[in-house]
Amino acid sequence: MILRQLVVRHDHQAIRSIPGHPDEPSSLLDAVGHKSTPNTAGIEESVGEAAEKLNSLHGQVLSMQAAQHDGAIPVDKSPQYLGQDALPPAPYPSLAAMNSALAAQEEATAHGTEMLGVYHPSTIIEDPPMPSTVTLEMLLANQCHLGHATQLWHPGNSSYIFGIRNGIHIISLEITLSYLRRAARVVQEVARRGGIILFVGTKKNTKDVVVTSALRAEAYHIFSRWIPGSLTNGQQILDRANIKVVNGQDEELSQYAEALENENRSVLRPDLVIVLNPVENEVCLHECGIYNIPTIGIVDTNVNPAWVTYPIPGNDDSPRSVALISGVLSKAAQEGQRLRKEAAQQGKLTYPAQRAKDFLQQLSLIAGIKDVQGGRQGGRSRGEKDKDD
Amino acid sequence: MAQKALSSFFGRATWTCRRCRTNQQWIQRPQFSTSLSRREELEIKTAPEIDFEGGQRSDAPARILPASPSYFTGAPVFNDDLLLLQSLMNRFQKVPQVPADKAPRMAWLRLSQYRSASGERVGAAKYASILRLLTRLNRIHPQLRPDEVQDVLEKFLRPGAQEVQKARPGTIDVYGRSKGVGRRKESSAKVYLIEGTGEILVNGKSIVQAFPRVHDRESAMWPLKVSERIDKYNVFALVAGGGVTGQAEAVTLGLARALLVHEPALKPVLRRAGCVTRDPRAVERKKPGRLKARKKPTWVKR
Repeated sequence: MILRQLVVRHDHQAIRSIPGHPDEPSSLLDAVGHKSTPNTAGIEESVGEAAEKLNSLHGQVLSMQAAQHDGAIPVDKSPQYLGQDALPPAPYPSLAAMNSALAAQEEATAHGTEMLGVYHPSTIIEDPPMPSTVTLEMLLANQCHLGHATQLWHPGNSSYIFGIRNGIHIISLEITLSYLRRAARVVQEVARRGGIILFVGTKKNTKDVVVTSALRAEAYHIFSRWIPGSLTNGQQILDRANIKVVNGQDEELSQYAEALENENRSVLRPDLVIVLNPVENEVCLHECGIYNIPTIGIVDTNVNPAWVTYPIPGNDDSPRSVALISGVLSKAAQEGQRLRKEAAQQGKLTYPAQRAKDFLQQLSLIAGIKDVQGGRQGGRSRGEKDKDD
Repeated sequence: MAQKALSSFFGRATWTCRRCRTNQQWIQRPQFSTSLSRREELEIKTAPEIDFEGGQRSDAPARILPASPSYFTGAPVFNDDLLLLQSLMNRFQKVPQVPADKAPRMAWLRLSQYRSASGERVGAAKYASILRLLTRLNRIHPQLRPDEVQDVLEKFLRPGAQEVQKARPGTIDVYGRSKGVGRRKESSAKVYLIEGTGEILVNGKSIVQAFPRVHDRESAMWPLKVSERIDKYNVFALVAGGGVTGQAEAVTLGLARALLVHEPALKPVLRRAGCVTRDPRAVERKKPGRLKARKKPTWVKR
């Protein structure tokens, strides 16, 4: 609503002046903007008088100001309207000055104190434990044992459940730990063999976890939504994205960039998919199953454990629980990448390079066929003889 | 020539199994001979060079990988941009800001321009999240803004001269007139303001003839009334469309805009008086399943 100044306006429509009428305004708020009724007359009179007094005062002030400024009525000269583009002054002369001032302030407040055992929520994301150093206490502290209400359980999880408390199923952390270590071993080995690992975590509160874990593991991430058909209809969905050819030392080979141009681009599939909330990613797991891609997933008590290849029984709703499990797997992947690079330094590839060569040959063949279709007298494929010889 | 005769003789007279037919070398050889009767070019597939280094050459392809960690999202460029802006926000959220109206005026890429730049069909809501981050990063005080933030913001600037993106201020012509355009509901008003004695003409008629209602007359003159400049300016307004009150309100807005050309410093006064905002209220459309915009047919239990 556009607010107008509450100056008394004349000539209102007299619609509610009948005394005793149910629509007759009984309070001043109802009467604003309407003709006064016997009920509101007294109040309105006093308000009107006050408004008139204000107006006359305002007029007096203005006329005094006008006298001071030779007839021109001055405008509000408060600092913010000094100039259209005037910036408020910066509290520090530069960013470096600000940083040093804040650092000095922090040092001054910390002077004489020693903070021990402070909990920082970001530690679980920035510096997760290794698979060998995860303990049952850590899993418990990060709420990995909390399952869902007993009415919502999936009976396939019965061997993972420790018991019931407060109406929810409690997951056995010993089982969680052993399955977690098994999954970590799988992740490490896939990374060591140069496989494409994909972290999928579509809950809003796990975005940072997924991105950080994927970057640490030199892997790939999805934090918003798995597009159905990314594998089954990859040519339509993923073909716009760039791919690259790398050598044993993970350096990009630019001479193949031309071969990977738009039309010749082929779609890649992950070699291992880690799903942090399988309940919401059923389609993703189904597609992975179609293409024989092994999956790892955090299996809560309401999830069917058969959906994933390597289930990790645990809490998929708490961000801390997800951060811990995803962090451990990413640490394992990091170790695998390190082993792969170590071997590459010594000139040994931990995976067959023939796959890449076949892929590139296929691309060049496709390019050859395309040339022929384009009308050129293209080369014959190997082994073909001209029948008119 | 001899080859052709031979192949036609043997190709048609004898039956060859599929394997022999597809393997071209066999057809040329006579079926009853185990040795080559004449010279011919055999296809020799030479072995590759010996790898003495014992490892991979640095230019040998080893793996095909996606270029971006967001490859499987289907929109990797958009995702990477979003992550970059969010990371900058996280790092520099404590740096002092300026109020939104004082931040440098930047024209960001339009959705169509971003789509063609990234090559992805990004949704409008998704691009809006990027725009929100850009406006927030743009509010970091320019003096304290890190270079990397400035570089990233410049990547999203609409191409074209910076001067083009500034709002053009209105002008006063040779006769001392300023023009303001105002709209309300279906009415549109062109208001010309010139310093004068306080005459008002609306569509060539006096204001009393144009707006019989006092309320409408007061609305039309409101910008001059609150700034106490009724006797300082002459107003010439051309209004069309809509009804009487709509035209009066359109004149209000047009007059305010014309007045701001003469005296830009009056903006806070007029804003507090409610003359600067264009009233967006318009007749609501009729919807299917209803009789009017809101009126629904009588509810029947069965």
